[in-house]
Amino acid sequence: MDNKLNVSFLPTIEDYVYMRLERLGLKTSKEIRMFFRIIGIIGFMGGAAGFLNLRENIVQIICWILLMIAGLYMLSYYDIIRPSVERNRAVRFFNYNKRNICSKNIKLENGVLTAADELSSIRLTGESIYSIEETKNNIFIFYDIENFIYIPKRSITEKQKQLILEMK
Amino acid sequence: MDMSGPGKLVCFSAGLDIKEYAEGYRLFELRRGTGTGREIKASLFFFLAMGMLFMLMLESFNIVKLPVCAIIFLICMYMCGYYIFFLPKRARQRGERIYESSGFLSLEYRYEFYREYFVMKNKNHIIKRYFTELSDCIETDEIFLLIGTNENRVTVIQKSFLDKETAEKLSFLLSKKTIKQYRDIRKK
Repeated sequence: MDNKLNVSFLPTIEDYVYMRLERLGLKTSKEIRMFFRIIGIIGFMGGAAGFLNLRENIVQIICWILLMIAGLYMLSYYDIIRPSVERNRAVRFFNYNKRNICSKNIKLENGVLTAADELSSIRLTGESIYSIEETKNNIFIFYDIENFIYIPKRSITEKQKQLILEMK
Repeated sequence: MDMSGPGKLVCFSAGLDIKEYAEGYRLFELRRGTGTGREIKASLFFFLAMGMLFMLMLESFNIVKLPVCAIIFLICMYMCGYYIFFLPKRARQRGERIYESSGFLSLEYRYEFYREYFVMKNKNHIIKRYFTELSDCIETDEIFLLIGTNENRVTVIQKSFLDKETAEKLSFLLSKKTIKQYRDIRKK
């Protein structure tokens, strides 16, 4: 019982949206986000300073405004723009593919994790797992750098979560 | 090929090499991934770069007076080159990294094609996919690429593991089952 796990869950729209958003968050490193924010601030403030102090002709004014817009875009890209776009895409995809979203069963026994639904089944041991990532709402089990199984935390207990995390 | 009845239409076993998977992943990225609409994006950046160049020309290319124009011009030209030249190469490299990190892609799978779906399986992995779920089916000289809409989106079947008769049967089957999505880009 202690090293066994057997859970089933039917992904809801919230599960799917959180999965997509958190997967997006995992794909981007903190350094790149910080870089974008810094460049965005520099761009916006540079554009604002140029707009206020160097407005000899209309061409220069347009350039400074473009720079301010570009700065704002970069500043908000990873925090607002990309998550919003991803959320909208996730909601559209889920609503369009509702009939294909099926219940998933996750079993862990003797160090082998089995994830199965109506359309696929996969058995993973510690060696075949590439990495396991924990986010706010999900556990992601990657079996290569792109493909993964996700388990919403709402469907497992804290003890079960630890069992999964200890696989890698 | 008689496609009536519930039985298997085509079945075979096949492995997959890194080069073929990378090529399949590259085609997937260009068709349905980050490379979608790359010609349009490259054109937009090129158009913007030309706009900046025009504005610089109005000021006799005085970069000191219009540094922003010069910077935007350079960025737009880089993005144009990125979409046209670098993106396909990066997609192929990502495909290679996925293959190298995966414990499954290098294994042999048993493929079974039925009327409405196909199954690919080995000891540890089984996937069943309906033809109606496929968004694209691309045939090249080396591979069949099947792109789905759900999880496990990319399926690459390497032709060198198939005999000529099986490859032709599969080609016929896929062209009939995925009519709108089927694309044959073999060199004729």
